[in-house]
Amino acid sequence: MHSEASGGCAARRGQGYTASRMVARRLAPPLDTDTVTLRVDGDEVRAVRGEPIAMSLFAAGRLVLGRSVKYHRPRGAVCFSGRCDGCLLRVDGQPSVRTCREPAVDGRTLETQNVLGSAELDLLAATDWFFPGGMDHHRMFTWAKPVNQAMQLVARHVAGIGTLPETAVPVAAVEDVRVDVLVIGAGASGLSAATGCAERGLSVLCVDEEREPGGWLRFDPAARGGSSPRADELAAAALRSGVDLRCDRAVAGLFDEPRGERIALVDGRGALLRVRARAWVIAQGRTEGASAFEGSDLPGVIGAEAAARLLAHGILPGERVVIAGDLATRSAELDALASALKDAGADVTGPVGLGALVRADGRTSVTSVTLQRDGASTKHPSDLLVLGTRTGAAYELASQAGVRAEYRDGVFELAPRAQGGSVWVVGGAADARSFEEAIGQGERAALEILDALTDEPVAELEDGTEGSR
Amino acid sequence: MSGKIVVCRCEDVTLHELDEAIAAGHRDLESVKRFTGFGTGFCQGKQCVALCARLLAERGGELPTSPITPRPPFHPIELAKLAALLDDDDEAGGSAP
Repeated sequence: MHSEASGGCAARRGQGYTASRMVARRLAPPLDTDTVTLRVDGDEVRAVRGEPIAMSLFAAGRLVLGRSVKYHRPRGAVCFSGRCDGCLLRVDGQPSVRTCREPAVDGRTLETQNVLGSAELDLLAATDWFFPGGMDHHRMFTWAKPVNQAMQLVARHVAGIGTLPETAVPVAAVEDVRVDVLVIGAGASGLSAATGCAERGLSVLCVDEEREPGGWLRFDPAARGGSSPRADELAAAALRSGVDLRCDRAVAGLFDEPRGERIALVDGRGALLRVRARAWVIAQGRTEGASAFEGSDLPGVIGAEAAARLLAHGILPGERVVIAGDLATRSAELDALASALKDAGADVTGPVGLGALVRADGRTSVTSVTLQRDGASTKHPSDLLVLGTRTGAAYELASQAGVRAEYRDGVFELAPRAQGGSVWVVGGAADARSFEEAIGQGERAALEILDALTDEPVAELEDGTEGSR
Repeated sequence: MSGKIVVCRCEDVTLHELDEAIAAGHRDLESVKRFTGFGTGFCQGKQCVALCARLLAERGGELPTSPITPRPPFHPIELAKLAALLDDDDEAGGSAP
């Protein structure tokens, strides 16, 4: 463990991205045949073909990807799973693209949004100093009409994220899909539920926002390099049983139509899927949340799951790492992450409890983390702070389908299934604590779904699994 | 950076603003959300809602019975994709998402 700060930040004082900085690095050099070049604000950045762009940039030491909407504070990726605001860039002319969900392809053009200057040195950051406590939107500049109007003009230039594309985007195609069961999430529980239903003759569509099925099995620090025989087996079983398994498809929302029918809109590459199903399985896992301390929003503060994702992609996210988290619920997981980071060559402090975390410092990304332990405050030179907060269920889509989300121990969890409903929540979202438990929940849901659907006298059960209405 | 503590990254809501909302008499999650705007940005609260609920509870506010309403879209989606639904739904009597 570190004991005292000793001016270890000198190597990181450069203002541009050409400055030498050892922050993140690749664990092995990519093969030439796998290497592609991205263009970022005029710079060329080497990336591995197909990896998430946000990860390519992180591995290249580009932690600061943009600025926040009001105060122009530096922003970088936090979750690497499409659930934060940190990795938004203009990609090939499209604004506010989550680059953690976009694959690196040779020649893609990335531009920083919402800055006057660069992501690293944004002149609009003056607003951060001008409003030290924050802006009081309820009263600010509202006392005289001309002042208010003038300020609105200024605010429109200073605030916001991205500007519209220069050319109109062609309207996408809609594919209508009608199935017995839609499974949202192709992790351990979702795949088990999907296979269980398909083996019993039900038509099943299973979608996942990741590019490969397997969910957390692929990011578990124990599964090195993102490969997981178990994930492969579960996915192969699903395909064998006839599941229509589609990855890189995010569900945008569940809607109850006026006629009592529910539809899911699924966002695919260049197309929209409109899915009608008789049973809905939600297996979206859990979400890490933010924590409140000074510097919590600095680039270089990332989630524990994000750190595990980066490792799975062969990227060591930091050289000097502090891990802080909710030790009551995540101790074993954070210990495993700490070991994996150490094995990969990082110098790791922690895991410590979130209560020990005082602040993170740095001009545009983390250079030190201050911890308070045994009554003494210690500043640790660091380039990465990993936060393992207590996780809560990914409740959003389940809520849209009528499942109640309730506050439990500082997070939101989903209520147990209501009798007679058509929605099943399984896996991490149902608080499964292990892959075995998740698989068991999926298998049980499949039996219940079969029971529920075969009780219904539906004439059009064999009404085809795909195609237009 | 200034010494702000940011509780909602997307909308740049600070802990100071959360405290002001509570001082102004807001005691429940929904009211504090409306007053400060937390949870209404790009990520729609995936990062901050549980944190703000905890901070509110620690400051003597009400324990939430539910999160702020998680409306679609779950992820941002291009208008060009939603536009694809228009013709169809217009014919069916209008039920745009």
